Amino acid sequence: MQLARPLLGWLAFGVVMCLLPAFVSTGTVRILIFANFLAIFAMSWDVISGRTGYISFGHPFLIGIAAYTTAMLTYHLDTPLWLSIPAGVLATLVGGTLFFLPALRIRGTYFALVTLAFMELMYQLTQVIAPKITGGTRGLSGIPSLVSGAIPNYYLTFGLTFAIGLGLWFILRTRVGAALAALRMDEGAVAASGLSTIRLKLFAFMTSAAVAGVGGAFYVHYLGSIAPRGLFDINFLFTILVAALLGGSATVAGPILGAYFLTFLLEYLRPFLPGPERYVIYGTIALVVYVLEPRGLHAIAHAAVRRLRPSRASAAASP
Amino acid sequence: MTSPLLELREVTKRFGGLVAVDRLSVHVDEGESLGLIGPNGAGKTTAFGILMGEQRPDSGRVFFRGEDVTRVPTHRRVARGIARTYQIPRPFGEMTVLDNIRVGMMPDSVRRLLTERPPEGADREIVRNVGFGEREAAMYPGQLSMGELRKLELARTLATGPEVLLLDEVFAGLTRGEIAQLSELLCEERRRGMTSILVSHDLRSLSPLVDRVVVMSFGAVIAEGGFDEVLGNPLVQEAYLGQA
Ligand SMILES: Nc1ncnc2c1ncn2[C@@H]1O[C@H](COP(=O)(O)OP(=O)(O)OP(=O)(O)O)[C@@H](O)[C@H]1O
Ligand SMILES: [Mg+2]
Repeated sequence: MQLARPLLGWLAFGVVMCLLPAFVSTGTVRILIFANFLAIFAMSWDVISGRTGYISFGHPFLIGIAAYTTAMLTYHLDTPLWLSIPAGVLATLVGGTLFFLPALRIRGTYFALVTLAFMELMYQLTQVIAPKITGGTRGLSGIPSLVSGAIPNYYLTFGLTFAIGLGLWFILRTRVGAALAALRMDEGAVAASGLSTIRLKLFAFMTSAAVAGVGGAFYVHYLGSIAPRGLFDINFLFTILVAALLGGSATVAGPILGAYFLTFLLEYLRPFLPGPERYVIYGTIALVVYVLEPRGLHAIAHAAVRRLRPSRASAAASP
Repeated sequence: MTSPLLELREVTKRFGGLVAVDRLSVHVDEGESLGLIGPNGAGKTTAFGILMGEQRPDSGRVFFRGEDVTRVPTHRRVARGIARTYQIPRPFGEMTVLDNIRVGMMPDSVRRLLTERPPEGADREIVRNVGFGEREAAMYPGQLSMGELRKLELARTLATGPEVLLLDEVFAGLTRGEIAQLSELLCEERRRGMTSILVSHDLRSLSPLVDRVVVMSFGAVIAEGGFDEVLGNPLVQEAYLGQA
C-alpha cells in the first residue's frame, strides 16, 4: 500500500511521457530531450546537495569528466560506445572521489567554493593540457551518436531519466535516505548515533557521480560535440541548481519536474529574449517560486493534488 | 582489580590559551552512576566530547573496558556502547520523534541500510520506555517542550544500545514535573544495570541518582566522593561561590 501509490505515480509518468511524442511537434521533442538531460543532472546534483546538504557548485566537473572521456576515446581511438560510455562513467567515479575529499573536512560555503574551483580548474586544464587530445578551446566535434533522429533520442534519454529516477527513488526511500537527511540536519549527531558519516557521504557522492557520469556521457554523444566553454559554464551550473531547487530538492520527482519546467520556460522565452537576459527572467521566476514554497514545484503540485482529492490526503510517501 | 568501564586518564585539552581540561582523570565502573559537577566552564562538556571522540585531547588517553580508544572515531565508540546526550539538545529537526529514534537504531552499514527492513516494534518500545505516547512519536522536535526534547535525546541515545550513558545537563530547563519524570526514567535504567555519568547543575535532583560525585573546576578534579561529603568540602564551596 505504501509502495503502491508512488509506484502508480511513476507508472503514470512513464506512460504519459512515452505517449507524448505522438502529440507534440518534433521541435518540442527536441526540447524534451534537453529536459531529460537536465533532469538527470539535477537528480545527480540533488543526491549530494539536496540530501546531504553539501552544496556542489562544481557539477559540470563531474559531467565533464565522463563527457570528455567518452568523447576522446571515440574521437581518437574509435572506441565503441558500449565501451567508452562505461569508461566515462568510471572516470567520473574517480573524479567523484576527488570531489569527496574536501567534504571530509569542510562543508557549507567553503565546500561549495572548492567544488567551483574544481570546475574552473577543469575548464582551464582542458584548454591548456594536451589540446591535441582534448581539442583545446574549440573542443571536439564529429563525435559519433548512439541513435539518430529526435524520436529515438527522446526515448533513449527518457528511458535513462526514468530508470535513474526510479532507481534513486528506490535507494533513497530505504533507511539510507533517512540517514542522508539526518546528515544534512546535524552531522555530529549522526556520528553520535553510531553511523559513519564518511561512508554515508561517500555513498552519496559516488551515487551522484555515477548519475552525472551517465548523463554526461550520453549527453556528449547526443550533441556530437564538446566544448569547454559551454560545459564548464556558470549558466549551465545554475540551470542544474535551479532545476533541482525549483522542482523541490531532497525529492526525486522534484528535480525532474524542475528540469522540464525550466527547459520549457527558457525555450519559450527565447523568441522574446534571445540573449542572456533570459537567465534574469528565470532567476526571477525561481525566486518567486522559492519564496512562495521553498520546497518547490513538487510541493506545490502535491498541495494541488491534495486539494483536488481531499479524502486521500497522504503526500508523505510520494516519489 | 578489574578495569573501570570508561576512563579518562591524565587528559588535557586546550582551546588556544585556555586549558579547558587539565590533566583530568575520571572513571566510571560498570553499573555505577557517577555525578560530574562543577561551575560553568569547568570542562564537563569538553570531557564528554573527549570521551565520545568528538574532540581530540592534546594529551592523555581514553579507555573503554581497559582498551585504549583514544583514536577510535565517534561512531565506533557508539558501536562499542558509549553514547551521549547534548547539553543543548540536537534532534534532527525535520524528522519526527519516531524517525529520530530510528536513526539511533540504524546499523552502521550502508549495505544493511539499503537492504534490511527496519526492526519492527523496537522503535516504539523505546518511544514508550521514555514516556512518549503515539501523539508525541509523530511530532517534530520544534513542537516539543524542553523536557520532551531531553527525553528525545535520551531516547535516541538509548536506541544505540549503550552500555554507558553520558548525560549532559539532564535537568536544565525542565519543570519540576518533568524532572521527576526523567529521574524516574533514569532510576529505571540504573536498576537495569546501566552505567552512567550525569552532568547537572541541579544538585538536589542529581543526588538521589548517583553513587559517587566528581567535582571539576578549571578542568581538573577538586573533590570526589559521596554527595554530602563532597558538598561539605571547602574547596567545592569556594569553587561554586567564586563563580557566583
Ligand atoms: N570549542 C571551543 N572553543 C573554545 N573554547 C571552548 C570550546 N569549548 C569549550 N570551550 C571553553 O572551555 C571551557 C570549558 O567548557 P565546557 O563547555 O567543557 O564547560 P562546562 O563545564 O560544560 O560548562 P557549563 O556548565 O557551562 O556547561 C570553557 O571556558 C569554554 O568557554
Ligand atoms: Mg557543559
